[in-house]
Amino acid sequence: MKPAPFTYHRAHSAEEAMSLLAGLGDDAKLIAGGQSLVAMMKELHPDEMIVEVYLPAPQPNAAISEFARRHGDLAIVAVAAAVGRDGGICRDARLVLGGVAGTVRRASDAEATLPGSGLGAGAITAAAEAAAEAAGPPSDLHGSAGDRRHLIRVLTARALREATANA
Amino acid sequence: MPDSPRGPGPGTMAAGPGAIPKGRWIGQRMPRAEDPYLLAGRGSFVGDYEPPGTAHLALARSDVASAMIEGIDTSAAAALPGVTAVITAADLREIAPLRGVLLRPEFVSTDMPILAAGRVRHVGEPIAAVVAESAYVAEDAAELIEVSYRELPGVTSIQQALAPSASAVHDAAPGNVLVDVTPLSTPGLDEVFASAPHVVEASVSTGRLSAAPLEGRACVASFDQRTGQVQLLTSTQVPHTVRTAVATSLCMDEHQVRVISPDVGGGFGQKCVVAREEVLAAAVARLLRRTVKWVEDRREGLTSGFQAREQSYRLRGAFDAEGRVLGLDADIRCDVGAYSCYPVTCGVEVLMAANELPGPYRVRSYRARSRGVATNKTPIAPYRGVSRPQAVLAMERLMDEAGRVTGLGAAEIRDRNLIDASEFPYRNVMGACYDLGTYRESLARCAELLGYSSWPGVQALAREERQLLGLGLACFVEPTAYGTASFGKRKMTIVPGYERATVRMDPSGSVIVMAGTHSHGQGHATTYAQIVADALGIDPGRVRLRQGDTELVPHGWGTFASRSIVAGGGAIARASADLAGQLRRIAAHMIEAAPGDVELAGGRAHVRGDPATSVPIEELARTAHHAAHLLPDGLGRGLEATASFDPEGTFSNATHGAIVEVFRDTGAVRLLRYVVVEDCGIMINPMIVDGQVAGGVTQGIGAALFEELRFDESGQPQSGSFADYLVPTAADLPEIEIHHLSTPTPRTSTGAKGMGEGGTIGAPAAVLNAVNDALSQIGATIERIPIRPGDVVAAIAAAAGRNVPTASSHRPSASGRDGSPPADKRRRP
Repeated sequence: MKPAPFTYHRAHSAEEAMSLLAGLGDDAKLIAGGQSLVAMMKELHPDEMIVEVYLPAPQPNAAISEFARRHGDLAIVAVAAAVGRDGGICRDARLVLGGVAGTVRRASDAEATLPGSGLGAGAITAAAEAAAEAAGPPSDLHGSAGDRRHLIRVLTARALREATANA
Repeated sequence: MPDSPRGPGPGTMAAGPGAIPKGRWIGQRMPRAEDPYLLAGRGSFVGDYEPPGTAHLALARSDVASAMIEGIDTSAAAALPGVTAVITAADLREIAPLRGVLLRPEFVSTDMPILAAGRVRHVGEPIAAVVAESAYVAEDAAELIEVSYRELPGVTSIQQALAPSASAVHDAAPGNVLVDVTPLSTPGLDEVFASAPHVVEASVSTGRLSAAPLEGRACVASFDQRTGQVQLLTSTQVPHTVRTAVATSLCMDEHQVRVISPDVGGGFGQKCVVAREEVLAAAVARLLRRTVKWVEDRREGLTSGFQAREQSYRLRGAFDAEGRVLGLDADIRCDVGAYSCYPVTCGVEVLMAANELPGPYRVRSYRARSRGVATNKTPIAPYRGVSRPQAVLAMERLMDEAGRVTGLGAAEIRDRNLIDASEFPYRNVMGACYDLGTYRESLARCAELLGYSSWPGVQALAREERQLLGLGLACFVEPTAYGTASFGKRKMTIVPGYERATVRMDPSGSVIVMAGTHSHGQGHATTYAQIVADALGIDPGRVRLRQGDTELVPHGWGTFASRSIVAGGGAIARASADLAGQLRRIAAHMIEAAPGDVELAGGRAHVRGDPATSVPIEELARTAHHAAHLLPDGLGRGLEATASFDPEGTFSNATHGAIVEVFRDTGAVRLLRYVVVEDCGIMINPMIVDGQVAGGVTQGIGAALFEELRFDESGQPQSGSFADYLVPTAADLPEIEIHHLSTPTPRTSTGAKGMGEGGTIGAPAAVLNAVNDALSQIGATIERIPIRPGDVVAAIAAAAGRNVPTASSHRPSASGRDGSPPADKRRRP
């Protein structure tokens, strides 16, 4: 069903979305893109049209790394990373994990290991390790908790390396 | 690798029964006659039929894997507006269960009830049927049926089922073994192993699959108030077999049942057996005197439709110092699920695995024990290739191991053991008589196409870039088109194999072919027309195929086991030859020539060597029907011929090769190349052959890398949608490079061999061997398909723990076919 008109917040960062959700409690509804958008598009009535598709441009210092069994499947694990740098030194870092819980999760423990580092191989490995360590991913048909933890480690490192190269 | 002797080349005349020369149409890449309507959405499938007054049937199925039914409360369902009837086993007491039987002492017969009576043995087993005025109401009402269960312990794996304390799925089989065969045990085999220079072992297991045809199962059953006949439209590969099953279960003569199967959107074996739902729909139609329609949804298809291929193999091979196989010893176990399918029984995988394991190799001493183990899971049925994909997987793993242990490498060890062209016809250790083939030549060609001789260098170079590449080979022989003599050895009570066809020319000179085979994607309307056109000298566009109606076509066994072009095509070729003789005699009379001098070509009958003296075939047809008084007695008065063909069996062969990259961080496998070199004799239509190979390879790659029906510990199916049952898409496949060799078989009138399953058979082995070749560089091995990324990661981690990389399986030996391996490689494991 196509929902009736309503007001909504357009969050500009995962952080803002999280804080809005926290503030609004159980009644909060989340509108996302991708798959949910496709489902809604199928419900368009003949006299309706889509007037805007908003895809925020990725920041240049960000990267996403994901893994799926088949081409185009929903990711078993996806990791988004963004790093800020002052010269060679990491100022801040954000890491978000998908496929590890009912919703996307900030990997705060892993983020905290990075500021002040040079974002070198050692720092990235340690952050990836921290992300894998802190996550409590589920097991399902597509991968056990152990498989997912391994993928978090691999993909976090990959996303951080790419984000660092872009920053 | 030395050159292989060549078999007879393409173009050689076939010399089989009723041989017809390779003519104008056979061998052409003709577009499929079926495509204009199928591709434009104008096909006509069971789901498209809904006569006025049709009621809809939905099923309440078991939620639990193993239980006694204490009670079924249908009151809420029956009370739902729109519900016509709710039917349970109590209403079907006169309906006999499906009972597949093998007349052999190693087999335990079990019944598959149409609706569960008293006990359920797997999740998804039908318990009650709701008939309602709409499919929506029927579905809703089915959910309102309350079943009280007293749960019983169940078994959901081969290991559990074989444990001494395991609960029995069937009381008749306390140890859960429904079939236990040792079809051969060569005397002295243990001594062969004891004295062999090399003894090599390989173990492999394979995940449970669904054939997952695009069109699921569907039935429309009706009752003819006038004649009392039950008519069943069903999506099947085997209309006559369904008729036999329904007539048997409903205690009717076969003429009281008419089975019609319109266009069928794939079957792959799942529809070559008879489903409970087909019998149920017919029984309900008769009971209610109404037309009822059942169309399964994808979840039903993936959880309750017949499944396949959950097997495990333990192989030992004895090899001499030169790498020649001396003996083969196998232990095979198949998880056959909760019931035995009709008519081929749950022995179908078990018997084939043991009987065909030696494959294309010169195995002289052989022992195999093969068991079919009952579990509380969905029953199995044949699926494209049946046990061959798994048996070939096991044999080809063994060959790779032998190549590694002897130091000969994967290609050389195979080449030394493949049956040579000079040895045909070759009677193998199991008594199968291989006609002709290009076993060694296909290997040589495939290896060449893959760059096998330079592979170690390519692999080493890639590894310097931290890329793990692997090359895998798989050689196999594909027994196809078994006749009654071969099928009879299985000792089924219903023995398929022959095929019968009628070829009838109408007064306008067009032809209708009526065949008992049943094309469901194979393109028979095209290939059969090519055969008829060459025999009668007419355009294939003048030939139409009728099939899939037991009232209309001769009794036949349908389409499965790669049999149709040989058995059906053979019957059609014979009938066409008969009809061509009739046309020649009529023409001889009309143009005053000897019948032996008349040729049929280009739509005309003409005197050999005198094209000017001719008569159009249309004129012969018109005369035969509309002016028969002009013809002597015994000529014309209709133009029709019927013939049968019961094939000896043909043996196609192929070598498949794959190149993969294994990503050691994620465990992903990417296919970089896939090469098929196959030989199915004369190709009636090479485009259709290519399509069969490509589709088969795709399913084989699905089995190797993606597809698996999973169950939890309590027997709940976990793979109920295409989000969880991963069928490969075009994006996951490399281009499939298909190359043909063509050795006509003398056993068929066209020189063609069956080939519908080969793609599926070779792919799992080629892919697994390629992955293991890649992993061998870091000492890791995978012994199970589908190859899941997590398994690859775990294997790599385990190998890192051991830290003992082994040699690649492809180390081409410096020595030739008859040379000995280097001394330092000759060791026992």
